[in-house]
Formats: sequence, C-alpha cells, structure tokens
Amino acid sequence: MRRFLITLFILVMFLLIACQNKKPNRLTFIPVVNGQPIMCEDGFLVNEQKWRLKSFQFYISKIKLNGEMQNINYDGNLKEVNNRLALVGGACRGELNWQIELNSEPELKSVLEFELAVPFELNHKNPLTAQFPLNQPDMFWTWQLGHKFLRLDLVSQTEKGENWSFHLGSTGCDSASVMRSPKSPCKNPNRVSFSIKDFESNKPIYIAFNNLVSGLELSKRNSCMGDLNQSACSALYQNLNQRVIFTQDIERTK
Amino acid sequence: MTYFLKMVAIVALIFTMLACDSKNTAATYKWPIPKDYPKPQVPADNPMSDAKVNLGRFLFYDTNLSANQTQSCATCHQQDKAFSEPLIVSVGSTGQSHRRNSLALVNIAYNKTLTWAHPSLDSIERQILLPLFGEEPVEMGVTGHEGEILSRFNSDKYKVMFAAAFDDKDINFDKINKALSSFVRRLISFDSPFDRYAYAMQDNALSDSQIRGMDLFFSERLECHHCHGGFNFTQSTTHQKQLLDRRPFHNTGLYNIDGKGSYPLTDSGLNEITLEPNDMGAFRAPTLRNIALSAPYMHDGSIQTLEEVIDHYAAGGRAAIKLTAQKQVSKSIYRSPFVKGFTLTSKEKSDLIAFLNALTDESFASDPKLSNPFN
Repeated sequence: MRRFLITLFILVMFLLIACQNKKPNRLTFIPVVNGQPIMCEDGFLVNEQKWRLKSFQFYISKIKLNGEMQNINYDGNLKEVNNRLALVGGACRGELNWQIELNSEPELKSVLEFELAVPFELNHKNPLTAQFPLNQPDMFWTWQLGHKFLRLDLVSQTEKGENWSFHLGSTGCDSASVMRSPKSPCKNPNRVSFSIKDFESNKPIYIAFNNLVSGLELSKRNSCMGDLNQSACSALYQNLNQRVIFTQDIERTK
Repeated sequence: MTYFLKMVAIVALIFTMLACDSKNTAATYKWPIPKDYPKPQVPADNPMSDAKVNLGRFLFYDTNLSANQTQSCATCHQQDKAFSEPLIVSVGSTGQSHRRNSLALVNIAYNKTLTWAHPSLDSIERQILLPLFGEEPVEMGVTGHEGEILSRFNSDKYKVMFAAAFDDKDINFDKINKALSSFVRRLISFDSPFDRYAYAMQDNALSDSQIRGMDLFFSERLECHHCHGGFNFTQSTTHQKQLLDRRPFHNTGLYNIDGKGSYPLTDSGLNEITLEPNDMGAFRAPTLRNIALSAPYMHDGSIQTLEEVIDHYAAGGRAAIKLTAQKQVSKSIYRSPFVKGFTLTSKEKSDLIAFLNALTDESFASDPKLSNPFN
C-alpha cells in the first residue's frame, strides 16, 4: 500500500511538471480606445461622441511564429474544426472570445505574423459544410463574396439613431450569381498581413481602435460595408495597411 | 484492494455501456435533411425517435388536447400555411385573441430562441408549455383541466403509441410535451427551388428573374441578409456545428408612436423581458423559408402581403413614412441600422418577390407524413 502511494505521488508530481512545461502559446487580444479596453457594457468617446460596441469580430489565419505556421488548439468538444483559422471577438449580445491557444510552446520573444482574412481557397465554399469557425452566419456574405474578415458595429450614445459599421472582406468577385463561387481571386482581395516583432505570449495584443479609424468621422454615412462607400473604405484600408493596429505596446495604440 | 478494483471496473463498464447506449439512440434517428446539412441540437433528455414523432403528430392534430376540445396545435399552425395561420393574430380556444401573429413552424429545431421575442427561451419543450398551459391569453386552456384532458388519451390506440415512444404506458403531460416537441422538431423544410439551386447546384432550379431577385436579396444595397442570413434565412440559428451563441433581435421601424422610437404599450418586444431600453421594439428575425405561405407578416400580423413588406423596408420602416407625413424629423433610435431604406424599380421588386417565392418548399407544405393523421 505504501509503495503504491509513493508511486502515485511521483506520478502526480510528474504529471504536474509535465503540464507546466506544456503551457501553450496564447494570443490574447484586447481592443483599446484612448488607452482603455473597449467593453460591451461601457461606452467610449471618439471625437466627443459617445459610442457603444455592438459587435467586434474578425478572422485571423496564416498565423506564424518565427516563420513557422501555427495550428490553433480548439476546445476538445468541437468536432469539425479548421485549426488554421480563428474567429476572435464576438457580438455583445452573445459570447465574446478574445483568446486563442496555439499548438506550440512559448519562446522568450518571437516574431508573430498573421493575416486578417479567410484564405481564398476557404472563403467561397458552401457555408453548410464549413468547419468551425467558418460556420458563422453573421460573418458570411455569400458564396460570391465569401466571409467577412472583420465586422465592427457601433451604436452612438450621443446622437439618436446614429451608428457606424465596418465590414471588411473581398470585393469585386465575379461569378454566375451570389450563390456561385468565383473561379479566380477577387479584384480586391482586401487581405491584410500583420506582424509583431518581439512578441511575448504572456502579454496581450492590443487592437488600436483610434489608429483604425484615424482621420474618419464615425457616422452612418461613413460606414464601410464592402466597397459601397469608396471614401470611407479607402480611408480604413489605408489605416489597416499603414498604421499600428495590432501591438503589444499600449503607448502605440494612442 | 483487488475487490475494490473489481468494483471500480464493473461500475466503469456499466457506465460506459449506458453512455454508449444513449448515444446510439440519438445517432440512429434519421433526420429528413439533405447530406451535408447540419443536424439540429436535441436535448439529452428527449432524443428523437420515430415512435415519439408519430405520437407527437397525433397529439399535434388532436383537439382533445384543448380543454373545450375545439382546438388543436394545428388550428394555429396549419400545414398548407407552413404551419402558420392566415389570421392577423391567433385566437385561443376560448375566443381570447393573442396579441401576436402565429409563427410558422419551419426548421425551428435549429432556432436559437423561440417565440417572437424572448432572449432565453431556447427549448421547444419549454415553449410548448405556453400554448398548453398559458392563461394570458388562454390558448389550449389546459390549466385547471389537466386530469380531464389526460383521461381522454386513455384509449387503446394512444396507449400503444405512448408505450412505443416511452417504453411505458403511463400517460402524463411530460410525455405529451416531449412527443409534441419531437414532432415539431421533425418539421424540416429543405426542398425549395432555392435549395436545389444553391446547395444541389442545379443551375436551372431558379428562373432568371429569381436569380436577379436573389442577387438583390444578398446585396448590401438592400441589406436583407444581415438579419435573414444563413441557411435558414434567420441569424437566429444554432446547430451541431455552430456552438457560438448568437441571439439576434431587431427593431424594424414598424412603430414610432411618440417620435422617440416607442412601440405600442401592448407589445414592446424584447424590451418587456430584458427591461433594456435598447431592446425597445426588438423582435427575432423569423426564417424566410416558405414565407410566401405564411402571410400576414410581422409580429402583430400588421402587414398583409410580401409587396407591402418590401415597401415597409424600402421606406426604412413603415413608421418613417408616417412620421414624414406628420413632418416630424426625429427618427427611431432603436431601429436596426440595416433598416435604412432603398429604392427599387418595379422590375427589381418583382424579381425580389419571385426570389422570395423560390423559398417555398411545396413538398413540405403537402408532405403526407406531416399531415393530419385523423383524416
């Protein structure tokens, strides 16, 4: 009996140590505005207007650490998943998920790269057979346009009836009808790549809202849903490509 | 020690057998859905079975389930109307009017929530208690007549069906509820011309006009698909492969009685339950499958035809037209940002209506397996 207990004790210790070593890499996102986290419950000020978050979610893919492609660890309860793609955030009336776990162990500092997009080969498929997390109706346009890569919906708390939305995805996609996939890539793929040098897994990645909407007056008129509103969309695309959107340095979000 | 290990092994074995057994029952039910379509989620304590669906079908069409034997579930949920009712609002068995229009029962096994506006009513088993036992308004009027109603099912025919569905002959409201829920879950409709075009890839399943209407429906110009998206044409959908929580409710600008966005006191939608000001006039987007069959429209049945529904959305909500007429400038602060109005040519409007008609599944509305078994 005693020997049994000793063996058990050693086994438990072994397991504990093993588990500790295997703590995986995590990407924890925090959307921030004016240096403060954006929460569903609290409004926030942009140009003296108060706004409330309704929905903020986006896909990231082609995640690389030091050049090595990463897989995502999903909850074991999910059966059919696409490990190369993550949906971050959510709608305020539902669940929000800001953290993804990678199937690798952290190194002290590494280079993190990812694309804010759904890859073309996955983007225009039958949504019914799509694997998690692509089976999300409010992130799907049509077979022709594919998925929304990013969806951000705000409601004004200052001006009644005012709101602002940014839905990012590929545009200029040609096919026989909205329910048919394009054979060749869309004219405007709108896939943006990001990288964070000196990435540390134990620190959050801030999403710099101020930089994303820099130079744009938030209003219904300045919403960007696909390519309907060229001036608002081009300002946003320019910010996505040129400004600091994802960073671990809170100072750079302001 | 050995004895203890033996016991553990036996208990574990029994546990595994039981666990596997319950899984098998659920897995063996054959859903009438095309290959690749996701399966609905079913509560663990009410797995689907053909026997339960069959019993549920008899109960659904049996007027003995209402206290005064004048109504069955099918009174307000008629098969040829996609299990809705062509009345503005439904009337219960005692003549009391409901304040809302009868919802079509189409693919509700996939619904994230049930009824027009309830953020957490997510089980068909709990929803069915409302029409059965509800007292305000009285629908089936079961409350106070439970024993009398149960005794009506004490026939040889029903005893056999209850025994087949539940392995024992005891008849009670829990079993009635579970069987009704199973039948209602079985009301699956995936055989519209749209399905044949979109998912079975039959290019000729839709006419040119319907395809043009479909392109319009999914355009950012009309914004229809923001609320009526996904394979069920409602964002309020959940299924086996979709575990993230989404509960969308929207204010469509139907009312704005005070110029501040208020809905009539008789029905302010989700706001009544959540007491959140922002939920004023918010209702669940219903599925558009079989929408041509389920007139009149909206939660209060206040719009008679699909043409008028399109006019309502084209105006950015019916309330906006009235307000403009009264020269009031204030807009509803609660109206969904997607209800912002659009202009359509008459050709585009008829294309859009042609597309909405392509969502009608004739085989569902006339499926003998779902029809009144007493006929």
